Amino acid sequence: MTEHESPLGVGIVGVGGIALSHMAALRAMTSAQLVAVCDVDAARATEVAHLQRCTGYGSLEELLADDEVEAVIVCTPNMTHEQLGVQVLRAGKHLLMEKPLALTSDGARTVAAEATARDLALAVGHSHRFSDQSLAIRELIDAGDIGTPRFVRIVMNGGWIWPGWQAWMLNPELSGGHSLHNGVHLVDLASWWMGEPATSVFSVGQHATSEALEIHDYLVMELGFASGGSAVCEISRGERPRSTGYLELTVVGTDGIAARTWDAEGVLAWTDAGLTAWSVTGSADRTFVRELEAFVAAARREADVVPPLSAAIHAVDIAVASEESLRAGRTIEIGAPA
Amino acid sequence: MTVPLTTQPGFTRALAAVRGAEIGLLRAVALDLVAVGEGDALRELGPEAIELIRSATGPVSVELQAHATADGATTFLGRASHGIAVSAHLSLVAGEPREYLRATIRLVGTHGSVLVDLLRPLLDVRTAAGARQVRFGPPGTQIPAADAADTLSAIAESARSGRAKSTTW
Repeated sequence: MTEHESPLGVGIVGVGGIALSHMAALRAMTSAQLVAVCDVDAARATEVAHLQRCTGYGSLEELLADDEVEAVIVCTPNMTHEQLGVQVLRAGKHLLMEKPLALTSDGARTVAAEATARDLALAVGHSHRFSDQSLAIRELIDAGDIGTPRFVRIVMNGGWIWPGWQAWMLNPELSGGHSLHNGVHLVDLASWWMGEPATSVFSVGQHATSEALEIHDYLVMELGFASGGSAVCEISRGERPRSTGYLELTVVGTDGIAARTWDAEGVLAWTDAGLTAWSVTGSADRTFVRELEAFVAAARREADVVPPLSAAIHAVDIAVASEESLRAGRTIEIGAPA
Repeated sequence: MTVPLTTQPGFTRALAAVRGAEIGLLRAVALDLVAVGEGDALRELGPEAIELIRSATGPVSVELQAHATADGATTFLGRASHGIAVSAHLSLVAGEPREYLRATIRLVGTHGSVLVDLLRPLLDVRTAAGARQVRFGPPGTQIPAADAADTLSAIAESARSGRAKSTTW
């Protein structure tokens, strides 16, 4: 903590999967404290509140009326983000919105305008910016070790398609499609490392798990930049075997290359699942702690929001354009970033 | 570059896996070639890149979008007529000696994937004086070269115009 005597009071809206990562991070922090959770499933909210030793509510209105809640993390499905984001900000609370900021470019700008008008911190959960490897790559770029970046390849391929045909992630009306649901992570990293916003996107998608899928569970987005540079962002949830977890990060610069290969963490395992590369313990935990520490600093007006709001809006713009590219089968030009 | 990548034994083994359906049906190819050298990357590395890709996908028509920097680093993403997604990046980094910094190809199938480091097999040698890598093993089976001129022209034209182009390889 800096000059603030008490930790920032945080409320979490929606206690599903990603909320658990935020709760774990908050337990490891002294600058912020989980004071309340809410969920449309009030019983679930009560259960989680008991485990987390905080207050549980069955509605957002009750949580926002709690004076101990100074900031809110929204962990609900994508189609709720715009409405809930505006509601949280109008209640005068700082907001960390899980990605994507909204399902549409207009929606993203609506939430951003609300935060700006009320002088509140609005961060979007592009958590990959805070991982050990992402920060190391950015440091290499900033140090000039590989010259000026001109190509980025990001591959995040997994085999765990979301369970249940009714899962909201599989419904493009609710999730925005794979470009918005997971693609924004890759788009944000690529633009951040390239040091400029993308100006075009051309996407190729496949229904790898089943032709009955409405989203492209395998998706490749090619971003073009005004400098002539480019990025290939590949995201999949349809790999086989289901245990697949393949991560590849490559930045090619004018003077060299930085690559995080699939076995970069040096732990290889032979199990019944085959040969796999394991992550180093704690690396994922540090990612969320860093993300929340950055959010707290922004809420305390000690630092700028990370990523900048313009970058979070840009990620939505690109993802929306990517979905359009998938439908139209052509390259989509992107307007100037917000 | 001195060593033809298409003769790399890991790549020929990977091709056998594709042809034998060991990874199911091929649905994506990702290729990165980055080398130390001078000139235009598409001209210097393009023929070998197309040869690598074509040997995996077979001859096929493709709709692709390319981008290129002023110094010739080129990227393209294509959708082949049989649905395979193909992405590739080719670039040169000025300097000596003229050798590959990175050469990888990933073949993604419906039932598995193969990742080939085209610069292996090699030994890692680390001493107090520093680290170096020493290649070993004979090259694999040579793949017959085919003309890639039309494909490379289409890639260059797509990068120039900013529009997707149709071609075949």
